[in-house]
Amino acid sequence: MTATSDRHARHRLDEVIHAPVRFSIVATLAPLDEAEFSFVRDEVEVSDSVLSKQVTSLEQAGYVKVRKGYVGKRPRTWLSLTSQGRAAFKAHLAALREIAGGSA
Amino acid sequence: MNASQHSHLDNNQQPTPEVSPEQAREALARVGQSSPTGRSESRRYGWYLAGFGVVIGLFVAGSRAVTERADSSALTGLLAAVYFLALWGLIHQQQRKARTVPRHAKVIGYVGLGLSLVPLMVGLGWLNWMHRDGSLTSWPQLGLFALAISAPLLVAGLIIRARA
Repeated sequence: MTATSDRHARHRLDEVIHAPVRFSIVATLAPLDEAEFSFVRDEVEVSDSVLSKQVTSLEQAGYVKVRKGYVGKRPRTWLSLTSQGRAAFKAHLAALREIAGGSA
Repeated sequence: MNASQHSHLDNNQQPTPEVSPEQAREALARVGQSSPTGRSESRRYGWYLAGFGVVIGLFVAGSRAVTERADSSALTGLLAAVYFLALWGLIHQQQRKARTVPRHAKVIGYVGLGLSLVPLMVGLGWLNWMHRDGSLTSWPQLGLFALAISAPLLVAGLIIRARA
C-alpha cells in the first residue's frame, strides 16, 4: 500500500470540482460532448453571471473548454469537459465513493 | 493540483474539503441522473441523425428511379432541389434546436455516415450490373437500396437515442 492510499479519501477530493455549483456543472457536462451555455444554466439552475464565473474557474483549471460561435446571427457559447476535466471528475467521484463507504 | 489552480478558488474554501459519508452519497446520487430536458435533447440529436439517413437513402434511390423512368433532367434537378432543401432544413433545425451533443455522438454519426457510403457504392455497382441490359430497377429493389443506405445512420441515431 502506498503512502497516498493510506491518506483519508477526502484528501483526494478535487477542490475545484468540490464546490456545489461547479460539481453540478461538471456532472451536467460529463455525459455530453458539448452543451450550450443556456442548457447548463437551466440544468444547474443558476444565473448567467454565476455560471459564467464558475465556468471561468473551471476553464482556468483546465477542466472546461469554452467555444464561441454563431447560429445564424445569434451568438452561442458551447461548453465541454477537457480530458483533464474528465479525469479529475472521475477521480473526485472515486474519492466520494470511498467516503460514502463504497455503497454508491 | 498546482498553485495556479488554487489561486482562483473561492476565498472561503478550505484546501481539504470535509465531506461526511451522507454528503458524499447525496453528491453521488446527483451524478448520472439526466434531467427530462437533458434526455429529450439527446434523443432529438438521435432523431436528426436518423433523419439524415432517411433523406440520403430516399434521394439516391429516388434519383435512380427518376433517371431510369423519366429520363428528365428537369425532374432530376427538382429531386435534387428537394433533397438539398430537406437536408438544409434538417441541419438548420438541428443547429437551432439541439443544445447538447451527447457523448460520442459525433463519432457515432460519422461512423454511420461512412457505413452508409458502403451500400451506396456497392448497391449502385450491383444495380448497374443487374440492369446492364437497360431494364428498369424494380420498386422493391429501389426500396431495399434506400433502406440499405439509410440503415447505418438510422442505427446510429437509434444508438444515440437509446443512450440518452
